[in-house]
Amino acid sequence: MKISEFNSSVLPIQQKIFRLSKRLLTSSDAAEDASQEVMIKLWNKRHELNEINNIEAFAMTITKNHCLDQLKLKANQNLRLVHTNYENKSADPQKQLEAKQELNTVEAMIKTLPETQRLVLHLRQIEGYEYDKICEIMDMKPKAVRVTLSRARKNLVERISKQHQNENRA
Amino acid sequence: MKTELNISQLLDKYLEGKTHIEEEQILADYFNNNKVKPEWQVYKEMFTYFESTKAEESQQTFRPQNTSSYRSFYKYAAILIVCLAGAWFYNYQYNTKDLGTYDDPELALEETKRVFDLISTHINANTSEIQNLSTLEETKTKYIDNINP
Repeated sequence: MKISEFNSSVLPIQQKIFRLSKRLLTSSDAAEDASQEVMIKLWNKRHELNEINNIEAFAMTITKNHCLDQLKLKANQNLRLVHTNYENKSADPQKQLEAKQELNTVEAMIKTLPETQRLVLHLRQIEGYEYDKICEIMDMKPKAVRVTLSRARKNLVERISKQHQNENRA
Repeated sequence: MKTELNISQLLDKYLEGKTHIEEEQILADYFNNNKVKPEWQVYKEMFTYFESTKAEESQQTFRPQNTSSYRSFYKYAAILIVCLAGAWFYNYQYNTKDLGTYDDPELALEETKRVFDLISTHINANTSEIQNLSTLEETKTKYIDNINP
């Protein structure tokens, strides 16, 4: 694979790689490092990439495995999530703060989901992948993906509601 | 009201994991742009979060550099320069070794004698200084070696 091909086929995926890393790892910094390392892995494998028909799914699989390895190393465990990057159009600071808290709650609750559910949910909701692609990335059967996704959504709704109830009680 | 019914049906399908991407987009649009009843507040938060995270981007970007062709060019240029430098140095040394010669044997003999004389004056220049060493030896023999029986 030539540099120009690499640029056109792999570089557009790098933000997706970053977002997936951030979903799995504990901080933005760790996610930045991980996505750079994944890009380097892909770059080193560029000669084999021609034979892979779905480079994006391949890249996401590498990212997933790399991040899970990182988590196993436990090197990231003492880092904390410090950064949530989103825009809010509302001008009222009070409302802005509330909206921010709500989004933080959602993010925190996603973090409490089991790894597989978190991954599938992310791939579907944030990156908008079809089931067949998720099957390829996760190495799962279509039915398993559907069940996992369903569980993830139900769990998430339940946990967010519970969290709000606790907040209201406090 | 009809939309609310639709959304409610879609939500059920959504929770079972049976919605298509397009249907999920309908849900996302609905929850991102409408005020919803309190029991749906959770979904609104979820979809707002999903929507906001889609745009999240890393600060660093990886960019491979087009190095391969330039690098080999520099490599060969460096090798060429080293070879040229080596050749020049060899030439320089070889040329300086060749100091010329005399055609006339008489003249050559004279010159050689002159050079030997010149060297010999320098060779014996400091022998007087070495005499001090024998004084040291004598003194040592006199005072130290004679103490021992």
